Amino acid sequence: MKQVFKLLRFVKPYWKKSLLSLALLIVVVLMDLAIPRLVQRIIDQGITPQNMKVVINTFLLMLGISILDTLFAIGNNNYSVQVGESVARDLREALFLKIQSFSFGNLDRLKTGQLMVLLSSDSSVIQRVVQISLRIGTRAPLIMIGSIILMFNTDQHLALTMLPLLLVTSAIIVFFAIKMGPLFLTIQQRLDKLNTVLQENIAGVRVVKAFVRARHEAERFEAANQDFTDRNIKVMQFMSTMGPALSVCVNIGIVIVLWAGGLQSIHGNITTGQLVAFINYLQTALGPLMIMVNLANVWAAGMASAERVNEVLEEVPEVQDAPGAPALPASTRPRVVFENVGFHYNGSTNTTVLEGINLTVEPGQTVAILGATGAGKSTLINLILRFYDATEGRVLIDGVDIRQVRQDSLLAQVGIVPQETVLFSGTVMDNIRYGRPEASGEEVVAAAKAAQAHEFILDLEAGYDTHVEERGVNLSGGQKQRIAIARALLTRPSILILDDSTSSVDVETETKIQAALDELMQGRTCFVVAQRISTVLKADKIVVIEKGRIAAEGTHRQLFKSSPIYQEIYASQLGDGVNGV
Amino acid sequence: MTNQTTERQSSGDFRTRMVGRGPAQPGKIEKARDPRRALARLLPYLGPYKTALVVVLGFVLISTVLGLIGPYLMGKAIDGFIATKDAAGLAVIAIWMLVIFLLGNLADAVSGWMMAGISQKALKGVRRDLFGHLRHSPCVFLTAAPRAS
Repeated sequence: MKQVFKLLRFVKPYWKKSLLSLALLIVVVLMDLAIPRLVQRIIDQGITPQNMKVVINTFLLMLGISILDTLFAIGNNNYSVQVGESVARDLREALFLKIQSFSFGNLDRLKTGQLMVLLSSDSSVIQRVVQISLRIGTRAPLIMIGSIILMFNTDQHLALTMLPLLLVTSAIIVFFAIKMGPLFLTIQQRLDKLNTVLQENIAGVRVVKAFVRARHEAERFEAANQDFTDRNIKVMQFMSTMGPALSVCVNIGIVIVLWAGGLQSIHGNITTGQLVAFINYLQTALGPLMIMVNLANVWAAGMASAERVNEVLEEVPEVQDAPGAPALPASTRPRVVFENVGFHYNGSTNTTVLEGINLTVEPGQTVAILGATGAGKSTLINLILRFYDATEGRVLIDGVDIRQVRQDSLLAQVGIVPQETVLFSGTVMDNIRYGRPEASGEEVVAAAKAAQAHEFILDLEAGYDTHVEERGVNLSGGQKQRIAIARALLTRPSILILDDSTSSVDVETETKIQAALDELMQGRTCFVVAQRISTVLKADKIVVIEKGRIAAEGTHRQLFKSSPIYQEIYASQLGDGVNGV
Repeated sequence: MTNQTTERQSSGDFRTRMVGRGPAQPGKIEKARDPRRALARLLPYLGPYKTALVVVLGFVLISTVLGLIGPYLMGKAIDGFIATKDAAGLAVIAIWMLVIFLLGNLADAVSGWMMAGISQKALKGVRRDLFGHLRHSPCVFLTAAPRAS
């Protein structure tokens, strides 16, 4: 409940529309409640004394009220939908911006899947809560309360006889409401299992086919499907009894009122019109009950969603700009210094990733970083970009601690070609321009030429305007990588980071990419996570990282002579063909 | 029902895509391109439950007829017995009304109960065939079709 109220600030900008919607709703409820009274008038003052004028007047009045009722209800719907949609849009935007502000540390904790749910289904659930609260969620209880009051107002004795019935009805509702949550949870658990099988089969379709495990997977799916269905049947059958059970209560009430009220009427204590009005109010009082049970569920789902949403909205980005931080002074060829840098996940010392890193990269130098998988190469790179902040020591660019400057000014000077190329849906041109949307067409072409991408782009069906499909499936690995290189080139970075994997690329393409990279590295301070022999050989400095520490540092010649670790890595990773050039 | 999402790079958590069949039904309703044909294709899934469906239909009819008789009896009670001050007749008709109402509710409960089983079993068939179809589709389809559908 508290979680839902925390999100009220998203409704606040639309408070006028919300109030208007509620005001319309109250009028609707009042008109709903007036109808049985008018029926009573037609019977008692029109039909019984045979007064046609009253009948016609009251009939016209009822007709007018019904039309107004409809119009007001439409207005109420209209505004509640507007508010609901606006709130959901704002919420999605706030979440999106929040997620964008997260550093890698935050993202490690929050699963990507969870964030996707937040933006899609959780915000829809909250939208539903908002809309329902402005509509049936308020209307149903108001009608109930109003009807009960008017029942007492019509005839106190009859109303009192209905009290036990109201209690039984409430008991039934509470029973179902309590049972329902856990039951739906058991369905959800089965659905999760079913979805896991489904997810693995879709994501891993190639593996399933390649290893001829289709039959096995089908059996697995069948079992999960059966389990899910059985649970669903049980729960749905249980739920299907709720409607009739409540109807029984309402019907018993109607019969009792008809009989007891009929006797009263025979004795002349109440009029026929009052009796009919009373029965109508009984129906309108108990009718919304079913709806309210369902609303309880929407609220329950809303509370769960609100909790998840709040958790993300309240998460503090780990990497933040210091208040009033200046921009990093622009420099064409900066010097990068790691000063006794260490990094632990979540600040705990037993998850040490990097320790005691001291490294100076002179302006324009190229540093190759070597090391086994998990040695800490990527983390070292991430520290330069401030995707994480160092837990010990400092990273300096031209003598300035990068934590003292604004992150955007830092990132503006750093270009990166990641190991896994990420292309966005859009044209090839859009993708190259990604880091500098204002770049001119000529600049894009120049960057593409330098990245050895121009020729193959022209060969695509629509050249630079070719649409990149989801995840770039219509481009080869080498083509995607060259687009990524062009993208990095276009931003004219002064520091360049290459996570240069060409594992999925043939020799000819590799040669082209190498040429593109050489162009890119010209006159820049470069960090290369090296897996390729030529890059390492050309590097001004090679750093070997082992278990988070610098194990060896020097040129190829020096290391080849002095460092056993380097020799080992060289032999295993870079091949035996070229020795000690 | 659709689940509107965009696919993540590779190991996306698909499980979270499908929204539970719990109370809330978030997401937008996607219009079928050809609703009549789409529905016709789903009809065979109800085939194995023909007899049960006929029984359900019978109960629905009973409940509908009884539901109409109830208010008719109420009119009778008001005009025929209350207006004429016949207390004994009122008691009899009230009992009849109660019986009619309760039988109607019973018919409702039975049809609802049966439908829960039939619809879930039919849905299970739909899921099974969809999955089978998915497995036999070429990989190209999985990359070309919008995800999460």
